[in-house]
Amino acid sequence: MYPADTHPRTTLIPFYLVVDVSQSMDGPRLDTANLILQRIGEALARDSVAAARVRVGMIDFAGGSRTVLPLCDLLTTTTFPQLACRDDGTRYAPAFNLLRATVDRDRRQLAADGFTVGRPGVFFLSDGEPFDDPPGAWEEAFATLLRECPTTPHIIPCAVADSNPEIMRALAHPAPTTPLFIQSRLASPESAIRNLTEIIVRSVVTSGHQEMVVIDETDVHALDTVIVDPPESWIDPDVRY
Amino acid sequence: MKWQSVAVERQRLGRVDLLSRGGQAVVYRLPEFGLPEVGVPLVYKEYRSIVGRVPAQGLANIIALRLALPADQRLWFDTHLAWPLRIVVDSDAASARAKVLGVVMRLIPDAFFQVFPATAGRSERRPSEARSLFAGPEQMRALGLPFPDRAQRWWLCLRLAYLVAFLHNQGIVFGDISARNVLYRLRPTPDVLLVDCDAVRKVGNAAVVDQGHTPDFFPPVIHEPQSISSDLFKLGLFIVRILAPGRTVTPESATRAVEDVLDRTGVDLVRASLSADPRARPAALVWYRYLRSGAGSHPRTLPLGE
Repeated sequence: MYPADTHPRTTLIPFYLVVDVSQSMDGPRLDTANLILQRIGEALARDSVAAARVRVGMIDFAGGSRTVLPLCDLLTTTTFPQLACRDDGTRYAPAFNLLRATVDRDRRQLAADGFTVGRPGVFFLSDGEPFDDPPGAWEEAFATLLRECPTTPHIIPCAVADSNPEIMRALAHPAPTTPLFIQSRLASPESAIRNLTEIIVRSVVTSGHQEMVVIDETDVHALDTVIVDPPESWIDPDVRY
Repeated sequence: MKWQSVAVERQRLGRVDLLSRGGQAVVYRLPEFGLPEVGVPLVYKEYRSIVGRVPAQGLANIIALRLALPADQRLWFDTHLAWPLRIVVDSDAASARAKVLGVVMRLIPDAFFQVFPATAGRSERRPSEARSLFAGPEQMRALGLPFPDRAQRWWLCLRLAYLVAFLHNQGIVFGDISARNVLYRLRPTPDVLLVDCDAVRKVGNAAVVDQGHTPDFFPPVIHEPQSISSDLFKLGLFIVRILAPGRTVTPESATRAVEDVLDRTGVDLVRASLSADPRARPAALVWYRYLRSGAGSHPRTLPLGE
């Protein structure tokens, strides 16, 4: 049942895809997003080393947030669930709350199974502005996620169509080293999501090999990459910790 | 920290694949060796005998500088400096007589390499050294390399100023800020990487590996020892050469070279940076703030105002 103590504990890197399924995603955008799990699965099927070290899950959000695929070994998943749109608004707070609970619960379960759980990677894809209610709700949920997760995930925001670049930039974590991907000016949301899929697939595989979250930025054509600047406090001698 | 705790024996590295040869060292890729807290591929930089005996404890102190950083700063640090991670010794690492052979560092990421179409028809993959940034558009075209635009150059200067300010804030003198030790990338975002970091020194300590001044980057007084101030001189010269490419820039002609490129404040900063008086040179933080205020939106981003 449990891995023998004489074997070194395998490190697992959990990945969560958090995808906007509000009404605006309906159509080609969602169709493209619905291929992500399949593409990751195909890549992992060709790479047993990486496959053994990553787990993938998916969460969706519109007005509320749901688990679409619980964290699992994609190679043992026979059918991939499909994302479906919901027409009840766009809120980020439920997604952050569900993510926080999920990351923590999954970590404890995998640790109980005998694995060492690495810091998770989260790809957060949105095509529009959040209209949380009351105002400030998503900011608070996000701050709680960062504060209360024992292992805070890397959060890689992916902004397409009418998402708010300022908000999406604020979600990149840890800020100075994690990129934000924004749809390029001349690209369509679908091609941006397709490019994103390639980045996610390569990142998941590379992360499996390196046993930590590594974002593969080698082919970014329908997206622009934004790196948040490191803070001035790190270079200011008048700032003391 | 005892140097033995960051030393590894040569035979434990496993297979080594030759990557490059330089005057001072030979660099090998390490496909079989990994370090627990470092998730990227590693290289072994083996010092040639010309370097002489390198004191293990000195190298360990440089290694310790990085380990002392808070985790979030170290994450950022590792993507911007190829810093010594371990000392490689020839035999029993616990023995006081173990000889230092070299250091383990991270492999330079792909983005900091360029493919140079070589004349013989074969193309060559080489690190993107900052001296490419000093060349004019015709020269770059002849080399088959993209000529960075003004916005990209500005951001490269900004990144370099931040990097130097970071080191200085930690009390670290980089020493040889030269066209060969600064690598750059334009994609996905303009950024710089400092290599050959084993020649750094902490203020108040001697250098471990000899810090030489690269020719053409000498501060005014040739025998001015490497210090925070000499770093600042080189930073100023660097910024001038990046922003005014394609011209021969000397400390004497630098101010003239930027008169049509920078505003009054910037020109004054250049003049002060290249002053013969080390104490007159502005801190890297000052350069960073000046460049930041003129940076506008990131060149590779959707401007946030639109």
